Amino acid sequence: MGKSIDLLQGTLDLLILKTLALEPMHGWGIAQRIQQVSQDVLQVQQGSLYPALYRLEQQGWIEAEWGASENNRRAKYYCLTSRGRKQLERETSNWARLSAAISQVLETAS
Amino acid sequence: MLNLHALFHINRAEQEMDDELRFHLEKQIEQNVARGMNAEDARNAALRQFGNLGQLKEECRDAWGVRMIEELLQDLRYGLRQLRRNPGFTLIAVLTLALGIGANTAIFSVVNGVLLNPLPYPQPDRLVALYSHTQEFSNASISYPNFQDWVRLNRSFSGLASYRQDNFTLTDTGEPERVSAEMISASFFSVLGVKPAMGRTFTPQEDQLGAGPVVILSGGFWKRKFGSDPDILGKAITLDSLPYTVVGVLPANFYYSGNNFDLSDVYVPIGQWADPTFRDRRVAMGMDAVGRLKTGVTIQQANADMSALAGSLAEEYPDANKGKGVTLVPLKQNVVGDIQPYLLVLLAAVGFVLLIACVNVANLMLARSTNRSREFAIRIALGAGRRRVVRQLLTESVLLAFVGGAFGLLIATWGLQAALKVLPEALPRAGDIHLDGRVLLFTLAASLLTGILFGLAPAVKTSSARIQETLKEGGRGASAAHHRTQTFFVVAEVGLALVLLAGAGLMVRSLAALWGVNPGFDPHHVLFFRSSSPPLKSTEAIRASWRETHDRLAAIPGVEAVSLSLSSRPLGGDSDVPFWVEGRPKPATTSEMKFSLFYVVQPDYLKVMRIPLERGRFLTSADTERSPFVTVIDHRFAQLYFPGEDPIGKRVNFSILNVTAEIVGVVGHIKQWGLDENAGSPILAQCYFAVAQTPEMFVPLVGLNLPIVMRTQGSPLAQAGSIRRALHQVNSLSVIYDMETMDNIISDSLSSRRFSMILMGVFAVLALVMASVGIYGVISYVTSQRTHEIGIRMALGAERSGILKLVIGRGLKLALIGVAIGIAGALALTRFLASLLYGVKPTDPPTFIAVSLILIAVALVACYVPARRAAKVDPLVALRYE
Amino acid sequence: MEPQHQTKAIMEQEADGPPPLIRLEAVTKIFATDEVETHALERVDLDIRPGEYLSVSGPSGCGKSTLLSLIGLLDSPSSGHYWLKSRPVETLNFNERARIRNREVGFIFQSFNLIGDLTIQENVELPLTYRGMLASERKRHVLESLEKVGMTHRTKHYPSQLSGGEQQRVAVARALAGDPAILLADEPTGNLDSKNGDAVMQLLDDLHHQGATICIVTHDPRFAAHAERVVNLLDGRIVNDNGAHGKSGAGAEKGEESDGQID
Repeated sequence: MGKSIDLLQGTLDLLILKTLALEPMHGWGIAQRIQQVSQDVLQVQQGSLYPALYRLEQQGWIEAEWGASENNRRAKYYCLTSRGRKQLERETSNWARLSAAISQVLETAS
Repeated sequence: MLNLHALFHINRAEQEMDDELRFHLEKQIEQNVARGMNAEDARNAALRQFGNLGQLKEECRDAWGVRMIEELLQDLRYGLRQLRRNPGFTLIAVLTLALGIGANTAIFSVVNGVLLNPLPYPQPDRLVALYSHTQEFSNASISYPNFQDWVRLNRSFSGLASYRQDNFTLTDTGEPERVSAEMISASFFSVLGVKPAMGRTFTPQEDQLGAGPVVILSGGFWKRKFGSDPDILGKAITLDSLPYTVVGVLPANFYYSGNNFDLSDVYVPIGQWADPTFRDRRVAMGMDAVGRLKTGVTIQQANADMSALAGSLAEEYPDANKGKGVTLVPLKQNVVGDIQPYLLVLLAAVGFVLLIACVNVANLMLARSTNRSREFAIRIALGAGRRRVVRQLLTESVLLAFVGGAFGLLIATWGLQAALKVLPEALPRAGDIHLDGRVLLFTLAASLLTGILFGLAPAVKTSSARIQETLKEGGRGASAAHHRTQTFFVVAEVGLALVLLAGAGLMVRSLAALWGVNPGFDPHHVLFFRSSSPPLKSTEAIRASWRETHDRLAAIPGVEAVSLSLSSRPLGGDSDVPFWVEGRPKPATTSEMKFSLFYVVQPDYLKVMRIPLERGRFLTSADTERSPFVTVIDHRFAQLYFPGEDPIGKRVNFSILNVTAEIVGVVGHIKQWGLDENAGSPILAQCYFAVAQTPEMFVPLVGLNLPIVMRTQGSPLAQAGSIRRALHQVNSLSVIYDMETMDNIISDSLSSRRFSMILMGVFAVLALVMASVGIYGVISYVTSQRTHEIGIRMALGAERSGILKLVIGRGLKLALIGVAIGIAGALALTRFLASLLYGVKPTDPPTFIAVSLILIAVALVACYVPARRAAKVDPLVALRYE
Repeated sequence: MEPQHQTKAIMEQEADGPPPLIRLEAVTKIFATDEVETHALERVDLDIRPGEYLSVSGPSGCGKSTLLSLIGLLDSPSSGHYWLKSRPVETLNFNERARIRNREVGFIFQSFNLIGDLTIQENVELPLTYRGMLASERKRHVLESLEKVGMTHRTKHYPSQLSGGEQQRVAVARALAGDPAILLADEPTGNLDSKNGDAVMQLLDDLHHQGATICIVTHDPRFAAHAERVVNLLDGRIVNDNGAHGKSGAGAEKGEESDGQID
């Protein structure tokens, strides 16, 4: 865990949207999923996860509903809205452009 | 408050956030345990990872906080626009609310100041006013020897004090001036619990015959006359030619109104008063008492104690005290006195006004809610949740209530100022009346509640099935239940308005009846005033001064007649005297004798007052201190004590005055107790004595404090200058005060009634206006709902006049039902007015008929406008309208 | 929430190709007054797939408006099932239905139903405000959808200042603003003259070509013909459906129930 990286806010939004694009999930699941997929490189802190979720919900990109989790506990599930899906597309392409640009800069600079 | 929170769904969101975070925490702990930690470490690690939970929640809250504020602003903006875009609705609703709130706040502030607020003394509820209880009066003044015995023998009071109003002429300090004085016993201020601002109060030694004259100044008098001189203590002021040493100055805000509303300028010890009559146990000289109950003693116990005491005094002094008791009245009740029933009636009336205002607002809201049901159907179809809709309506209602409340506050402030300025004489404790914040809050809450209750109607009644229908209809439908509610409201408004109108009508009739009452004298062109000069030493000089005063005044051009008017004065002070008719069995004690009011006047008195002479002669200038003592009695005296006999020549013994008088004439009765005097009034018999025949021992008592009545040609007040000059010729130190026309005195005697009548009238008019607005609103609403129906009727051949009749008939029906209910309500309620009415029964048919007609007429006018609009409907347009 | 139903629906989709946007199954609607029971809809089965343009027609009183209200979640069926995007919605409460209406349904009414005290801009914005979208975001959406209907020039006006045709275009913009899954139009041309009516129908056609799912109720066969699929209702029953999808009704129970949650 020592080499994990904290996420920038905009990036976290993108990762959440991406994660939810697969299926509805609760907050815990989102954090776990990001951590797993990134092989523990990306650590999502609760302190940034939940405010981000609330913000995304306000924007109408995700919606929440209460449902039963495994072993029947009540949990709040988030899912992507159609607008969220569009937002994800926009952000993904932005991200691609951005990371390409950064790589470009880094390569040129070295 | 909790409910409000729920409405803004803070609590639920908060709860959900907690649940969500707890769920996360538990999952984390589970994972830690799965990784091999023990339960406690797992928990601690999870919590550590969570970091600052409070801050986290804060950040989450921020996310929806922004949204809530934005929504609130949006609702507010929209609410304001709604009010702006519907000026008719807004104007009527705000005005209705403002009037309801304003009138209520003003009246309740008065009631609160006068009736509810405690008197401005420490532990005011322990203060009791004491009176002598006689055959004729329950609130008679007390004789000084009796008072001294009460002080000595009572076991209920920690202190008893007496007081008596008097006047002095202040000289040697600029122009001579009449000052109002209170003679008080030494204990007066300690009983009230008032400490002087400077100096001290009187010692018991100073409250004795022969002690050196001392005086306490009121704060106002000290400031006005002595420029708040800090070195005033120990200085002497000249009152009635005698130097009084100033020993104290009272706080500026001190006032005491035991039985009058006059604020006294100076206070002197009553025990120094040397007049022998004052110390006659049989005679009460206008002195009253106030006492402070000992801790733990109830007024009932004090009553029993004082009754027992009065009983033993009656045994000891049967001649003076037989049949006399003691009356105890809580001081506040004593101060508030007669105004209480008026204020309570007004309070009820203004409550009605508030009720009507609320009904009116409810009605408006309901009418508007129908017009807006389409709007809300649309909003709901577009996905507004119930909470969102409710919140929007709430915002609008609250906005309306607050705008109404703000104007209401203005109205209350102005109304209160106006009431206090115009009619102060009707209100005791006027100084204690302030705008009452609690009342404002209460009335605001009432109207807020009304607004909310009926403002929410569209949200509540929009069921899903209705949404679809409403969206299709384009919002022109209204349920029958809705009509019924509105109809009910209008009927209720009309009914309430009728009750108020009936009340106001009855009070107007009472006042009119009273104005029509013949007081027994002709008050027009009669001037009353008092002249006061420092006393003269010899009784001879005083008698000469009386004659000269009359002669000088009578010589003024334009003065028709003039007379001193000592003792009783019509609608003014009253003095009574016990008597027995010679030749009939003499009552054993004075207290068993009959009583008559007596007027000590000069021969021209009949001319001044234009009282008719019925038999014999009136007093003449031939009746002097050297001629046989004579009296003239009034019609009632003759009726009561010489029925079927000729009273002329009969002799009457007035033992207290030490005279036996021969009756020489009979004159008409005058209404001493006010225009509403009736057979139940205390003493009706009246008799007249000549000023010139005043027994020697009473001459110093009368002195040169002279009440005078005068008949003038033209305006009485125009004579003020000549009167002053004439009296200065008699005595250069004379002071004139209390100048008033007799018309004015009569009018003042009706001030409580007039005050109530004006307010009642104002309320009734308000009610009338609101009711007509209500009728107008409902009829025009119903009519616009039925445009289609009217179109069909016209297409089928209905004439415009027929439509007019149809619509007006509808309104008239509501008005008639309302009037019928109102009459029933008024019949039940006006009997509570009975004690305030004069010459008219609470069920007076002409009043009821008149107010019903007024109400129906107003209702007709209110219906006419929408009816005309309906009659102008173009059937083609109306039928297409769907 | 009932994840079981959801799962079942998800399972079905997998077996049946692209999932229907709307699935009605044996939906019956009965209006009961004191004296009579009216069967407005009688066991109606209907699937609407994404991108379909469907018209519902039939004589007055055949139940077409009731059907539209049910689809639009303005009302709930007396019996039967309704899945919207594979979610059962017939048992949702008032607020939950409002939420879904807000996000998934765009209404267009015969009488436009714009709110008179709101400007054009605010009328179009309305569904977005109920969603709690931030102001800047809303503004963008409003402009976009007004652009689509060609009404960007009069955003500060009030509805009464517009002609009927313009009002209906604004109403369409409002329906579009929330990015709904389906547009429901109830006699959208009923209050318009034929020129404006045609324009509105053209607008709907264009939207359909851009991919919108549209369900229109009309008794005018000329307009019904705009739709690819025409459903005819008579006395609360579907008597003709030229585009009925072969399969309807519940599929067999398949698979185990699981959460669909991944740790």
